Order: sequence, then structure tokens, then C-alpha cells
Amino acid sequence: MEHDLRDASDAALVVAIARFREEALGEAYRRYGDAAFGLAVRVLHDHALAEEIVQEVFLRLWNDPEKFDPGRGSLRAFIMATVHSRAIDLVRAESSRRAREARHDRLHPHAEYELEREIVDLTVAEQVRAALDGLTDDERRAIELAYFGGHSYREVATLLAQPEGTIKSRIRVGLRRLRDSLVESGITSAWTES
Amino acid sequence: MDRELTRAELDELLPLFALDALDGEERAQVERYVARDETAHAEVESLREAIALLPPAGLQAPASLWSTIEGSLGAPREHPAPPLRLVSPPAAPGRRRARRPRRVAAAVLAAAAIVAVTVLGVQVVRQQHRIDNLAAEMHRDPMRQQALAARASKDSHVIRLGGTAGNGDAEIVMLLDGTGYFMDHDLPALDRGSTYQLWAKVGDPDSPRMVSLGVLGADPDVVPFRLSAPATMFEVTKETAPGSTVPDESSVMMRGAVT
Repeated sequence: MEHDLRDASDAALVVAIARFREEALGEAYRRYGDAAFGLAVRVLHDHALAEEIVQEVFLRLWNDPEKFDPGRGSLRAFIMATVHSRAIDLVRAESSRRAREARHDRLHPHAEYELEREIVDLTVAEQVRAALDGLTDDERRAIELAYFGGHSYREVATLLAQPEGTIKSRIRVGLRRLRDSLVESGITSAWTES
Repeated sequence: MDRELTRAELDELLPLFALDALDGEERAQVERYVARDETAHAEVESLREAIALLPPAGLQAPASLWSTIEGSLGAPREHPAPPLRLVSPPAAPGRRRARRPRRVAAAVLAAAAIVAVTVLGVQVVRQQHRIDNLAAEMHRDPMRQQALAARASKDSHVIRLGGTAGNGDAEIVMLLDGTGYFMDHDLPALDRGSTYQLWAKVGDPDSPRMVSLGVLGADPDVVPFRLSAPATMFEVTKETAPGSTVPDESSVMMRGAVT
């Protein structure tokens, strides 16, 4: 890997990808590939499908780099949002989700989800954990089921036996508080590229 | 859903849209709203920045995955040229393949060469289009327009930053909703490996603390940020990339008090 790409900003990296520099895509994968794969597995409970989605997302970045707008956000957020969206499409189209989840639970009986443990970067772990601590248990549970469970808020409401309006409110308030807390701590700065 | 959602309803659904927790007609309506409304789009993007920090840790992608991706890069892209057909399809069973005159084969090879040159030409043009499109995206500079519009707003508060060495000039534009813009006027570009970083002094006046509002890059122009707490001071420091978690007094390049 060339040294200049290791230090490259997201924008510079994507310009290099637009120039068909494979090592630039490799650097993007080095930075975000594991996180993308982890997210896809978390939502899909299926390693093979997760690999397919990650492959598809990075090939899409290769084919259409101009879809990423560095003025709007980080490459990490762009990739993770794309992976999540694709995974959700699959989950909602997949009638056998319950079967896959049941299989996953059998294979990973102790893989109880804890949001705090699933923080990606040690350098930001403490501040992300502090931001998560600012959420109520109900807010965290609703966000967790929607994001990692791949459920719509209506499904979350059914799962938690709560009114839909309550779940909407928990997700809305919790997510905005999480964002504001991370912005205030300097971990994210709205659209600012790092 | 058999009605159009109001703007207030759409705004309330933005976090759920960012989380992919909407479906059906609600999702479609919010998607159209985000596509046409700049503020809604920015809200979704900023929420996704926070959401992107919450993926599962401890899982490594299989080593073979990158090899698979890398191996696919040479495959035909989105709009591949039609495949060259230098060999005729097998003759149907029981039928004798027609003998091809030599001059026809030569013509086919010549045509193949022309197509190959054309494909290479298309590839070069396409690469230039990719770069042009990306450059256009990067330089259309809507951020400066947003910042200038914010600056002209009656609800904005402008804080001037001055260089600690007596030179340099920049501005902070703050809006009531916590949206802010850093607008550089004459900060010198830094070498590769360094970056400017923006800080705000917030909290109890008796025990204030500095919070990072984000790195500005080596040659910033206009950079948006969000600040949810009242600030009494803004500072710009020079840091080693990718930035610092704690500001160093000796690295402060500019500062300005909120009056």
C-alpha cells in the first residue's frame, strides 16, 4: 500500500478510485471493510450473504465513485449506510429471517448483544460509550432492534408491545441525543470529513 | 398511508429514515423529501455519521473477501462493451459447419482490432468523465453558499477569529439551532500530515472545557459543524493528522471570544 494513500483524506481516496487506482479501493477496504462486514453479519446473521453485500458495495464504489459526496459526510458513513440499506432490503425480502435467526442463536448461544461492546474504534470508544450512556434503556433497545435487528419501527413496536408513536419517539430522541453528544465530544462533526 | 405527510411529520421521521426503520409509503415520502430539501438531507447525513460508529466490533472480514473484490475489478463494468465474437457458435448437431473463407477471417480480425481500440477509447473517456463528475461534485461548493446564507440570516452570530501571531483571519457563523460554519480567509495551507482543528470552550465558566468541533483539513475553506452547548471561545489549532483529542496551547493558531 502506498504511503500517500494511507494518509489520504476520504476525498483524495475517492478521486484516486475514480482514476481506477485499485490500491485506493484497497485502502478504503482496509479502513472500512471489517466494519462493513461486521454490520452486514449483524443484520443478516449470514456470513455468505454479508460477504456478497460487502463485495457489492465496494464494487459500487469502484464503478460509481461520484456517488460519494465528500462535502456531505465521511466515507465511513457512506459505506456503512449503503451496507445497512442493502442488508435491510435483503432481510425484509427474506421470508426465512426467523429461521436464520434461530439458526444463528443455536450457533452462537452466548452472543447476547451489548451495544457498548460493539464499538469500532478504540480511540473513540470511551466517548461513544459515554454518548450511549446518555440514552435511556428504552431508547437503546428501540435503536438496537431497528438498526441491528433490521426491523421497521412498526415491527419494533410489535416486538416490544408498545405503541408505534412511543417507539418513533424513542428512536428519534435517542438518535438525536447520541448524534449531538458525539458532535459535542468531537467524534463526529456533522458533515465534516476527517 | 393514503395521504401526503406534512413537513413537520416528515421532519419527525428523519431519524427513523436515517436508521432504515421506515418502510413502504412512509419511506418513499421521506426519501423524496430528503432528495429535495437541503436541510433534511444534511440532518440525515449528520445522523448517519453517528450511526456509522455503532457497527459490531470484533468481526474481521474473511481474508478471501478482498481477493474476490480485487478479482472482480477487471470484470466488465456497469456498461460493458459487447463481447467480441471471434469464434462462431458451435454448429447444431448433425449439421456440418460451413467453411469460412480466409478473407472473412481477416475481416473479422480487422473488425476486432477496431472494436478493441474503440473500447480502449471509451475507457479513457469514461475515466475522464468519472474524474470530471467527481471534481464537479467537489467544487460546486454549496457549503460556501450555505455559510453565506447563514451569515446573512438575522438569527446568526458571527465570531471573528484572529491569528495568535497577529496574522490570519477567519470567521465562525453560528445559528440558533447549533449549526455552525468555519469560514477561512487566509490560513496558510499546511504540509501533508498536518491539519487544522477547530475547538470550542464550553461548560461552566468556572471550569470550562475545550471540545473538538472537528478537523478542518490542511487547507480549509468552509467547514460546517454542530455545537449543541453555548460556547464562550473558539480556537483553531495546528495538529498532526488525523487530529488531537486535547488541544495544546502552543498549537493554537487563531482564537476568538464570543461576545
